[in-house]
Amino acid sequence: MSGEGGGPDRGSASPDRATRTPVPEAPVTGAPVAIPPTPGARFRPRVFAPGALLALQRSGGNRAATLAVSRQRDGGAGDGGVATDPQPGGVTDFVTLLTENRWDEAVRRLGAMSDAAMTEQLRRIRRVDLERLRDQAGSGTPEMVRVRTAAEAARVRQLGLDWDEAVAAGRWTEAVTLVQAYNDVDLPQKLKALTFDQIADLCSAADSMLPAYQRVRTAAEPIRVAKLNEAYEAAVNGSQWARAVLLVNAYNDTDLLPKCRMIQANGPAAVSAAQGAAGAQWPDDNHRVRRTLSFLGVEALTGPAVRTAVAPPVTAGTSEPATAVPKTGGTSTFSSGNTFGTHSNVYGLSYQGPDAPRTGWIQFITRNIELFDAAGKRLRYHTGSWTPSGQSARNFSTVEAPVWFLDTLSNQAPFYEAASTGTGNRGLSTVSPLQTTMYDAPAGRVDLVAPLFADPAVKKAMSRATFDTYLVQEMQVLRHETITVEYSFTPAQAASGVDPTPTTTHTGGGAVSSMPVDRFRAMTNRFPAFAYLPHG
Amino acid sequence: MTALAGRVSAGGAGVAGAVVAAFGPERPSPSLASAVTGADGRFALVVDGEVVGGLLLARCGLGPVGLATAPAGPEVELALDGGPALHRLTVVAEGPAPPELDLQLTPRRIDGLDDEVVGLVHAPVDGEVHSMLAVLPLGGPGRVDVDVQGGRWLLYAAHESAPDALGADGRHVAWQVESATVGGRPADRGFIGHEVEVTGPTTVTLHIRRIDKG
Repeated sequence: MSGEGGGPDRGSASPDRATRTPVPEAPVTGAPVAIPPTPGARFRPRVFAPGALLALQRSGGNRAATLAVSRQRDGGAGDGGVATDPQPGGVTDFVTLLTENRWDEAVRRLGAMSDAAMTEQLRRIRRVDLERLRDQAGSGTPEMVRVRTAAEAARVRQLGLDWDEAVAAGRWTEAVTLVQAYNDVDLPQKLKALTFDQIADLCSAADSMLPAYQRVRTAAEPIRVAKLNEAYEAAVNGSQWARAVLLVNAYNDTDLLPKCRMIQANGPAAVSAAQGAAGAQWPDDNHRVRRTLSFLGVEALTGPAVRTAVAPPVTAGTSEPATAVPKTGGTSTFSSGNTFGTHSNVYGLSYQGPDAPRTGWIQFITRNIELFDAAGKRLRYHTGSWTPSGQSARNFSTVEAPVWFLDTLSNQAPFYEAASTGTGNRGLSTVSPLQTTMYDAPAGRVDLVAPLFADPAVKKAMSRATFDTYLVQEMQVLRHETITVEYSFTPAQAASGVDPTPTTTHTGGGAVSSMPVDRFRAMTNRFPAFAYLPHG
Repeated sequence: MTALAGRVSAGGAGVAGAVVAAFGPERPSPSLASAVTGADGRFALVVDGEVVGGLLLARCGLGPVGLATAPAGPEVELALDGGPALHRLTVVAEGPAPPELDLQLTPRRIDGLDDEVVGLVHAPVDGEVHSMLAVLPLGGPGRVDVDVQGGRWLLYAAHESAPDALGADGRHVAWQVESATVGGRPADRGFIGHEVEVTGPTTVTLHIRRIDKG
């Protein structure tokens, strides 16, 4: 029998036996009881008169009540009535054999029927009972084999009908249990008949079910992916962006970006439209689809195009031991005491390894000026703002509650080492196929510190620039490093108009997979299109 | 709750943008409350509890520059020229002054006011402390003309075009006052900036120099 079949262990106990649905118990009082359809029976819900089923249960026991329900399902009783006198040789009479566990007799009676009569009889039997009849018949005689074959055919037919009904009604947990009963040949055929949305729902249901149903989930996955591909391509080709973004979200992390490139292949307007659809679908800009579409919008500005090779004459200072960078096979190295022109005390952060032109640094800065009295007691933090050359004004904050600002001179990308368009500047950096190294030497801002000593109580000022610097490669955040450059001013030092020698400390860092939200916002405030990095 | 109100004036006209702060009898201490005068120079503020022995201090840094004080009361006139006279102070920048260069000034002494009161210019008001009483644009116009109270004033001007992100050109430029003269004579150096006695109309010339630090 092609296209349909028994369970994976055809001829033995069916795996869906344990899932038989019990007949609902009759209520003690109350309204008529609607009997819902169950996986093992084909019938239209009927309604018992109030109390009728209970009365029958009390007088004849549960089996009698079960029989009554069975008759209802088989159409053996009129609406609202309870059949209690089965017709000899009729449908209900045969069902009585089953409800009374007289399986041998039931098999014999079936064996005495013509093929047509037996088929008609079996069509009225619940699937679980068909399984029992099939097993009971065995293969002892040709008649028994005939009964067994017919029972199995009826069971499979009933299984298909139950499956169709569960699928149509969207009862996916039930659908999983039903389709589990098909063999390895027929199972994928049943699944292939589903639409993508249906098989996606089925997979979701299977994901939350017992491991025993993993067989269905495993069989469904390649079909789900194939149907997803078809549906997604159709949505993209039809410019149905709302559906396209929903469908592309069904791909795993590995496939998401390549699949989104199908949208990119339709041009910037398509990417923009898809971004809009994704924004409407997911308010959170950290959503994977939103970030991926954001990346595609600026991808050309995340690699060698902005990270062009450059090798300024930086004299090396002292380097810390290199640290392995996750996922890339490269290393990260912090150095201090480097010299560039008249700038000494230059610190550096260097990535060395594969894909260096696609790997770079995004740096954030916070500044504070802490003021002390003659006894060394903190008076306060300075409030106000500073304006670094080439960047906009920022507010001073505190060590305890730092406010972060993106620190780059590029006018086209947030990376420290990114080049600018036109005559724009670029952060001091060494970029080659093997390394991306950034260098910085923040000023102590004596011009801002000196007037603070106009308050006679102020005897010392600590001007600090703290950096939180992220190593990123395409859509990945790999590491961050924390560096503090601290200038200690006395009144005399401030009066000299010259910054003192700073203390530079590499105070922290490590592997990360996202950046904090406040730093992400600091970046996207300046470069809104670069909203593709994980954050939160 | 005590309601305090009044007006800050100079030459009979209201002074807008002055910060009026109420202080208790224990000083120095943070202000109890503060308000900014409107266009007519008026202010109103409310202090928790009674203010016995307190005072009101007006810090004026936008128009005429100086301090005015009076005992706290329900209706107070704080006249900048009620005691010390106002004099025209002209500060001229000579040399390569960038547009961003500001003149900052604050009193070291104001004629007719106690040093304790003058010291309140650095007292916290609404959690903020200002080191200087006035910050006025100097580099763009090249000069500042402002009326200040008679007394001794600290003048400071400096600006840096300094990097946070070190540019590939390594540029770091500073502008500082190399020297200051008053009527052709060198002004006194303060521990920062220069100090100038103002007893009448006074002209100070700040000689600006550009320093390429990188």
